Amino acid sequence: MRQFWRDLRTMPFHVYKKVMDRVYNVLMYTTLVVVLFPIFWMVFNAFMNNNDIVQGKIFFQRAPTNVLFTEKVGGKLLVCTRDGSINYLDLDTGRLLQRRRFKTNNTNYVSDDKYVWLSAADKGLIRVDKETFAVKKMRIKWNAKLDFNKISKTLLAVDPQSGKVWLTLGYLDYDKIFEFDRETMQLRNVYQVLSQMPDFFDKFSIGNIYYHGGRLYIATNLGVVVVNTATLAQEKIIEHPDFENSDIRYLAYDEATETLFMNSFSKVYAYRNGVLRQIYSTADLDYFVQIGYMTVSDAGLILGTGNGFTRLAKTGQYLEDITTPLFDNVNKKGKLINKGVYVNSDVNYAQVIGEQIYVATSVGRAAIYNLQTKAVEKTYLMDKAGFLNIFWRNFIDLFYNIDFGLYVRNSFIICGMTAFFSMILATITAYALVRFKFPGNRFLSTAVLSTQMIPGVMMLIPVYIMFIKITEATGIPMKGTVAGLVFIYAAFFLPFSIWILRGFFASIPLALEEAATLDGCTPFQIFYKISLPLSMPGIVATGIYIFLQAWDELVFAWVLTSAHTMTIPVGIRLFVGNFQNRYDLLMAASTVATIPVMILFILLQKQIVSGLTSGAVKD
Amino acid sequence: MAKTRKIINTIIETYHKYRLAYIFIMPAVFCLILLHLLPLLQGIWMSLLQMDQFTISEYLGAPFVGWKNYYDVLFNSASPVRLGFISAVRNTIFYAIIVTFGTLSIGMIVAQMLNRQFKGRNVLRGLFLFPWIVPTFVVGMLWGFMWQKETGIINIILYDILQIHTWLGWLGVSADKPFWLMGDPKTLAAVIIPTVWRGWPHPMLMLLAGLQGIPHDYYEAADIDGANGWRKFWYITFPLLKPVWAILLLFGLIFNVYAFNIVYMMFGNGAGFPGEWGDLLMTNIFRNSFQRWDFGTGAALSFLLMIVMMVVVNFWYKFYKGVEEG
Repeated sequence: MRQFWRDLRTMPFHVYKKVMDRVYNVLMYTTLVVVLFPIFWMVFNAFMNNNDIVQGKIFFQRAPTNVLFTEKVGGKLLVCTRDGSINYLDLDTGRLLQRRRFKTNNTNYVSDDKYVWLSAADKGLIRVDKETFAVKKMRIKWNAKLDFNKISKTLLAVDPQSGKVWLTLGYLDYDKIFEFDRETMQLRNVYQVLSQMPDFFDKFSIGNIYYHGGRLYIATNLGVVVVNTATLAQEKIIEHPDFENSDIRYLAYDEATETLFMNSFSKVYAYRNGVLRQIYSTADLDYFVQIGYMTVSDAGLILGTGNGFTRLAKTGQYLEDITTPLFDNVNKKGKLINKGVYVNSDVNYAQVIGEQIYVATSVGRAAIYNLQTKAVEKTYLMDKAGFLNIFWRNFIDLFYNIDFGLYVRNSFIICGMTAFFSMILATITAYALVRFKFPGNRFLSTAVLSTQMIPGVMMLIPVYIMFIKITEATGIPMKGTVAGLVFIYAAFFLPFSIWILRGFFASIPLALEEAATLDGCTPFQIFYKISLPLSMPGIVATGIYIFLQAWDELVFAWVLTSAHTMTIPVGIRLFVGNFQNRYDLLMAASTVATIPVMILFILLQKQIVSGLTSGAVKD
Repeated sequence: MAKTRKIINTIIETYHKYRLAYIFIMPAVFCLILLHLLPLLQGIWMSLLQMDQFTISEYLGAPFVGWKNYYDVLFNSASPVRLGFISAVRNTIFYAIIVTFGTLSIGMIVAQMLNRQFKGRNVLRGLFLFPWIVPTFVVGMLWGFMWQKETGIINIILYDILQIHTWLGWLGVSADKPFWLMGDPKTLAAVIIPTVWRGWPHPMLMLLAGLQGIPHDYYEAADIDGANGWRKFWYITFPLLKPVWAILLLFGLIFNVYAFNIVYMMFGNGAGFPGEWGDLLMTNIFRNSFQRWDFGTGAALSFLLMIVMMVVVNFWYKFYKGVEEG
């Protein structure tokens, strides 16, 4: 390094200059990056997911598609996701063959031999043909005021033999079950569960519905209601004291043992010959396990847990934990990146076919697990998992939580009017101060500068009380109105504007005005026709500067505005108190508060720069 | 009687001579009296009253306590206000001086870098001005987020990316990520750095304009005399830019002593106490007035601050006038 500088000194001048230019360029662009980084960071975080921010992540994380359902159809794999897309993947290569997207909420899937059924609270019932991908939709009137955030799931059951599809909602106190025709998709019956319940407690919700052998099993938190689908009569209610505390989630009927298995979050029950027994519980384990999914097959009971499966015998005896679905990490095209990456994933669905288990997981993967070799045969990645967690939603949330549009509008009105009025006042005052040596000129100049020394907080209470007094005396509303705030702002930014504008008027050559006097102009004409146009760029620049200052003002706006005249800082300040840990929303709010002034600046940059500098630098 | 008439006549003559000027300054004078002078006088009167949440309804008729507020603030060591006041004064002095000189020096360096011939200079200058456009309340919120212990980007950059604890241990850098906003001297740095970041583009702009106004001949003459870059800066640029940096110093000092928004938004999102090392005078006054509901003390503090600033600025103004004329 030292050698470099020594060489540099002995170089010819033009070479030296070139090298130094390079050095300066590097320094300059480094500075630029460092300086602009916080602004970039603000905008960047406005698009991030708050969970990632809180975990100290500094980049967008991958957004897993929650795969809810998977099934082998011929040589293809059907993969259905939570956001309502139905995909066919090639079984061997994992390539995407076909796709339909429905963009649904609270999606649920069920399939029979011919169709895939998709239900959603917002889009109703959708039927997709497995062969042709033909779609038939059916809107549903739920007959209830739905809060979509509180719907846990839409629930589906299908009976291919008699051609019936049942649909309901997992929603508090919702008890209607719709029955549709499988082919025509016409509504056949509406079955109300609550009206048939023996006693009704304060809360009721349906956990799942399940069809088997002519009976519809409706799992509620009060017990499992068994309905005969042919007669629509309620056969019995399987009650259990524990059900009130934990909903039944999945039901599965085993033909071989004639047992109905059902599970709650932590327990598995078996119902046979009118006797309900708890056969397995995860509460005894020394680590926390939630049972997500349950299915039954010849291999036994398969429980999908938070990190894999548990296999039980049909008696409830614990057989094995397949706790590590060792998903190979593959990229979008199904190419292997590295083998054997452990993925902690909820199992949403599992289907046993022979020795293979088809699994759908919450991390965007479908997989085939082999029971015999106890290994993952194949994993399939849905390509949405390649997408990043970029949230436009933050801005929507922001405008939903606080009335940001109103604040932006108020800020624009108040700051614009402030700049306008204070410029009018400041222009004439500064002109008078510069051009007329009237008695009191010096005193006024000093007074103007001295007002900058008064702390604003000191004047807050007097101004507030003065506003109230003015309203009492004249009836003009001052506090909480746009006019009141503009009045205050214009007066407060007046001294500074006068101070800047003095420079502009001082820089206009006197000779011009003298010539105008000789031509017979009155003093006012001189001001209006000569000085004003000449100093217009400076006035505009100062006005923008005042606009920016007013945009920034917090204290007076905090005290003197009301709900419908709040400016952006007040709105943000209010909102900040309620959302301390929502950094994403805070940064979104910051971005929204910054962008208008940025745009204004970019548009008027030339005027601002020339105006500010020419006022300050007199030569 | 004749004398009085003469004076009145003089006044009327003066008015007629400068009628336009007086009409022009009238609205501004009205505003100054109504919204600066009257509130100021009321504020000074308030500083002599014991005005809290019980007596605020009587406003100016609140119990008169004379100099008690001033005594409490300045001399009464038992008063809780005094301790906070003293640390706030210390912080504000550090803050104002470091921020003012920091912005000026960074502005000067970048202005020097930009004062060359290269492509896209105006664009680059505009980009450099961006931090100055960010509103201060946003600056407070943004940097408050960036200074967070675990989630803040600054600790992540320093400790996770640069890993300063491995190679700067001898400087006393601890192995754990530090709290920046928890009331030790680091807090003052955490307040100063955002202010400098936000404030420096303005001096840069002014100094750049000043630099562009300096004729090239001076530098060429200096080159012939064999002066190096540093000497050229010290003997040519610096004195010639004196009018610019003098006014920048003046306004920088005023603005920074009265700085409020950044600290107010950064700590506890506006509601919290910035701690012994984060408190500035304005936040101290604001807290005394609007959280302790002690408006008398707040007014006394404000008035003291105002007097001190007027003295300082007066001296500076005289210096500046000397610069301008000389």
